[in-house]
Amino acid sequence: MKDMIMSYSDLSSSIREPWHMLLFILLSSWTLLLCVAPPATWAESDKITIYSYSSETSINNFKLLKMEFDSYLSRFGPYELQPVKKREDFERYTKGRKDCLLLISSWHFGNIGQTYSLKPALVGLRNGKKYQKRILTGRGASANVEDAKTARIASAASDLHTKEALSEIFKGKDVADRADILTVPKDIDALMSVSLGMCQYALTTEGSLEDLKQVNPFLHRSIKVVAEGRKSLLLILAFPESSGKVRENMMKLVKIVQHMPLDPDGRKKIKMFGLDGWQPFDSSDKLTKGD
Amino acid sequence: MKHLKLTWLFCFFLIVSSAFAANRMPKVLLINSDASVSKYGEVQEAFKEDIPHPVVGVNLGDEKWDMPSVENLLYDEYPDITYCIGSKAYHIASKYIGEKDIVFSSVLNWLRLPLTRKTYGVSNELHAEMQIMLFRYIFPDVRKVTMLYSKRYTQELFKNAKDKARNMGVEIAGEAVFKGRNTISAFDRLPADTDAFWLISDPEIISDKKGLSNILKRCEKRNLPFFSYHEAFVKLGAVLILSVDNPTIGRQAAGIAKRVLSGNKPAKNVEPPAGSHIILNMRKVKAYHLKYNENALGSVNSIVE
Repeated sequence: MKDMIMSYSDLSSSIREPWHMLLFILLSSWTLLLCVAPPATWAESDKITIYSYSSETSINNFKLLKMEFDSYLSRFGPYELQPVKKREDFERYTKGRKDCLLLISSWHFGNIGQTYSLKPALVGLRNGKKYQKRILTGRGASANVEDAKTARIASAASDLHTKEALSEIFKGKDVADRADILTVPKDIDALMSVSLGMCQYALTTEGSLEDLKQVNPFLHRSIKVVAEGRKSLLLILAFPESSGKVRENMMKLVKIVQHMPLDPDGRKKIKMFGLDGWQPFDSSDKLTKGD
Repeated sequence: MKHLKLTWLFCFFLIVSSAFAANRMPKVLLINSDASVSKYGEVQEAFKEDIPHPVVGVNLGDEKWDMPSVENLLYDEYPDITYCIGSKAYHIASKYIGEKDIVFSSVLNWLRLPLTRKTYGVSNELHAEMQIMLFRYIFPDVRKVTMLYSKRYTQELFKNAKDKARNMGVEIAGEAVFKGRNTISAFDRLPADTDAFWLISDPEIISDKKGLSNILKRCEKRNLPFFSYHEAFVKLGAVLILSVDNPTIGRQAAGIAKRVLSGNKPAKNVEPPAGSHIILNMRKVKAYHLKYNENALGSVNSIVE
């Protein structure tokens, strides 16, 4: 240590000329910058944004998602997440853009995938499964589909998504359009509002009903599944058709997202989207399945 | 002949006027106690988005709406239904057009309001069962919870919570307080071997800052995590905040108004909020070494690190 101090003072004493001093400051600053700056350097043009909009929930956790994902993704490069509250805004921001990834529901992907020339990269997993089934539940043995058509239905999904799911269950678009829907932030709210009488039915998923079973088995026993929809894929991470460096950067980010579940911190972040893993999109994957 | 003509004329006017009445858009008035308060603003926005009729709005926080002009508007409009956000709005509507249908929301202790059979609303507190379910959802290992309640305001909530919690494998123990006089002694009588303390909204429990501070100091001394109902408690060390989702309240109020206007009266005049808002204080979760359900993170609105 003493030697080091000595050598530093020797060096200081050897700086006699002003240009020596300038050179010394420049070299020191450069060395400091190399030590502090992240290992990789990137330009603003390399920046990739993941735009997310979920038609499956109405929870206002945008700030949380933005903060958590930005702090995680920025460790790897100029990447960020931009959650969007309204579908119209989401589509306005992303239409025609080549330098972004889109995190959306499979239902939404089915709606805009072709128009936006999107390619699916990853499919979300929950409890190891990539498909979920939408169900209509009511309370008590007398609950039935006919009754649900004129009753109040709680749903966390967007109005459009809910009506499309209901038109499949009610086998008629007109009936679904006339349905009395209460939009709630999340599935567990929808199930509880049936239990507490604010609504008579809830449109949720099998997974949420399973959560209810864990939390309140007593209530779970009183809930009846009156109808089931088709299975649909969970969230999809998609990218617009592009080429060259932009595509290369996007693929890098896809890999980073895909590996998030391998890191405890990354895994915690993707749980905020209700997922616990990813799987590459397979050409045999269908957005919805009949069984 | 003259009588016949008069009868025809009468019938014609009857048909025309009833057809006109059938097509008439209902008059919906919205009175906001102060639209600059963000929670009131969120509720208002959601209500307007969900109601399919034009809405005339009054913002009592705006200086232009002094009492005489509000009174004039109420008598001139004489709305079919009035939606009141906050208690100030409700008191005014009830005073001048109390004979008409009124829907309220965002009112603390709504039971104190002058209610009529034409009063409908959404309460401002999550149902006790909903809160316990959410505790269990976030903290699956929480089994024993203590709380304070007052006989005047929250005894029913305590009894209901205790009863419903049992179905979820949670045991709730409580002590009654009286006008804030025995809060500390009541807290000291609560069983020590518990997982959490549930601080509820009750003016007799939280009567002043000093009383509140004493309760929270005792929680800290016992190394007891506490849950509460307002985000202000995060700064005071709450582990979990369960409150209402304001846009859902606005949508519920719109639903009630639509049903009342169509002649289908709601089964219950006042319903609890259907949407919840969750804040998780991760700093305290770590400090208390609490196990939380990672799968529930998708239901959390905000995390304090």
